[in-house]
Amino acid sequence: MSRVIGIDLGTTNSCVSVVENGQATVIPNSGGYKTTPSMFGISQDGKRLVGHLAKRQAITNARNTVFAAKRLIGRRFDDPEVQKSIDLCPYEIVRGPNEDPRIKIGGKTFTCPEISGIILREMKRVAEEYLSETVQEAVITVPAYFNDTQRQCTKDAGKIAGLEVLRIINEPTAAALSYGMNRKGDEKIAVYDLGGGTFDISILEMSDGVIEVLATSGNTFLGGEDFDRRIVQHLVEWFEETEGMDLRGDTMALQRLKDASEKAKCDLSMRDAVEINLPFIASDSEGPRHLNYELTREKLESLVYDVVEGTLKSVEQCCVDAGVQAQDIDQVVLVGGQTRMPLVQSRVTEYFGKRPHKGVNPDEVVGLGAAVQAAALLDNDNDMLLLDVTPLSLGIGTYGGHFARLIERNTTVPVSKGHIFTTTRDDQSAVKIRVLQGESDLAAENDLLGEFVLSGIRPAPKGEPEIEVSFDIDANGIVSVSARDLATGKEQSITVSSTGTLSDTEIDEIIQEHDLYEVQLKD
Amino acid sequence: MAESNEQKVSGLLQQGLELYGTGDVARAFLIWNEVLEIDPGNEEALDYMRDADRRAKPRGDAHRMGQSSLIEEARRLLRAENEEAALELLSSAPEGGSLEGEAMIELLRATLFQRYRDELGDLRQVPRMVGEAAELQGRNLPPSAGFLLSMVDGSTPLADLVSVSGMDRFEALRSICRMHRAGILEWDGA
Repeated sequence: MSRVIGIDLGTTNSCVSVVENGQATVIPNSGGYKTTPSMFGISQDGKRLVGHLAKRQAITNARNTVFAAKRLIGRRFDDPEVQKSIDLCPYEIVRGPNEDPRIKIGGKTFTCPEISGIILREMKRVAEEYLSETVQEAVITVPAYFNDTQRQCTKDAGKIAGLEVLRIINEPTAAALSYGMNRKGDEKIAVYDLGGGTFDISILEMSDGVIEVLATSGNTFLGGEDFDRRIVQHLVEWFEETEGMDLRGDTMALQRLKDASEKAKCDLSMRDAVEINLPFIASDSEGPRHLNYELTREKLESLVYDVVEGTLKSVEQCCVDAGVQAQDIDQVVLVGGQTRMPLVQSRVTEYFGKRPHKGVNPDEVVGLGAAVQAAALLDNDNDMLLLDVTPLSLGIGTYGGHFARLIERNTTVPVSKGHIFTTTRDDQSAVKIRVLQGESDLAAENDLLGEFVLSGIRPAPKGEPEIEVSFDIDANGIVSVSARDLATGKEQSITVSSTGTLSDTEIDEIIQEHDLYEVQLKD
Repeated sequence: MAESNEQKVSGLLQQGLELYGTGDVARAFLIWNEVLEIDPGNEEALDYMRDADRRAKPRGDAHRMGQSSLIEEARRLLRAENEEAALELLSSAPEGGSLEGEAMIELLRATLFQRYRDELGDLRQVPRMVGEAAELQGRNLPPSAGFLLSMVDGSTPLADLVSVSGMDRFEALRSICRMHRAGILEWDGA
């Protein structure tokens, strides 16, 4: 039996893990790194680049390097988050035929599941190289607030990568799992997740092995990269002051400054000061110029203090939403590489009045949890009981623009609920059903998952036909709908075709194209 | 630096100075550039070049050769099989050079491109830096070389280095070749 891997498909970095001899282990890539940048790019000579290589051209070839595609996946083009990305990202985001955002680089347009699929394929390759066997199944993590479309698109991405996604689990749930928190009694857990590009805070409640997300908050445009940017900005200003040269328009210099700033930031989590040496950063008629600067932890903290404080405002909001006070929290879990920073740790400790959990690397904790879940799915004797809850209410749009909830938020998944519909006109042969997800009483303010027309209803006076429509949410949080005419017993298969998801044909075409490309690469 | 190289450098420095004395500034620069190829960071050559540059500036482009003598000189360099110097000379011409000059540049780039490819060998080779980056600061490298060096991590093959540099492929290969010749970069089998 082949092994199932756990993948933390992050906005900035991804991580793949597996359980070996009962122990969850992170799999390093060929460069020895335990995380891989979630980046895809096309070089100026047309080569497709994934991970670290793509990251290296992120500034010098910014228009052809995609990062943070996770912010776009499963959203509509008009979504404010997508519009903000269009304003901030150097690569081109265009409106797709399904009203979804698509990414245009190197003269080709990619769907968001396709970009995520490329990252997942790379993670699959890393795992296969390490395990020396083919990997076909995976558990993938997603943010707790992801709706059905975003989850479905992530599953599609897995399919594009050649993976059967056995389960999609919430990132904070995976983090709690990697600490074995599911084996403890009832408690409230705060998961503070400061990654490269996003900040998420989740308050979970553990009860009888069911992990309920009480509230989530955060900022999808705040993360470790903001810290890097502050350092780069400081170095550019310092160089201008001391050497009289402005590096802002020099992409090669900026790429080097970004790489060096990220490294210095990481090193400063363990040291009080680091040397940043960038020889030949610029030149003029006097010859080459070098940048040699000592960055201290104290200076770094002064540069980013307000960013860290900003995360605590979200924490406060999350506690309010969850109806808890900081002192009610039993355990605090740190997730994301940026939480290694001593300033972040001390401010979180001060806020909750208790030390966060230590022992698992914060940038590996979600991936490890996914691997734990993967192993549990294979092991029938495993006594682990883990149940997620649906993050958003599910329902349909009704007359007058209202939203009728059929499955309430925080219902333990999997769940199935039926509802009887009838006709409103005599001899009505079809009804249109709009499936929505969200918490607003107004249909327009919720996410439209899809709409379908149930046809072939037998001719009858209005109100007489009884059509049972069943709404199912599986363990991945993915919604499916089926309908049955109770009088005739005739069942109709209905697919909720959401705007952002891809059809099976589209997925197959993408897989074929990427398979061809794989051959091309090996040549 | 090996003794034979020291003698060569000394000879070239003198030759460049003589050319400069006769007013042939362009060729003097070529010779001093040759010195830097052998001994990057050579202070004497850099001093001569800075000084010549400073003196030339008030005269604008007066020190530049005329288009026809430029091509003539490039042909001479080609006969001496010094394609790199010929290309540098032609590339130094002001904007709007002659068609013949542009054609020669294209031809030289194609020839040299193949030469650099042959010199580098298998682009799957992984380059390493000889010594520490900080030790290089006395040398005279352009920022593009510094950028390439910053991506040398002991695991990235030459092909990927060229791809992700975002540089013109020819320029990237030339820069790598020069750093290899100067003993800054090495790789197995090189």
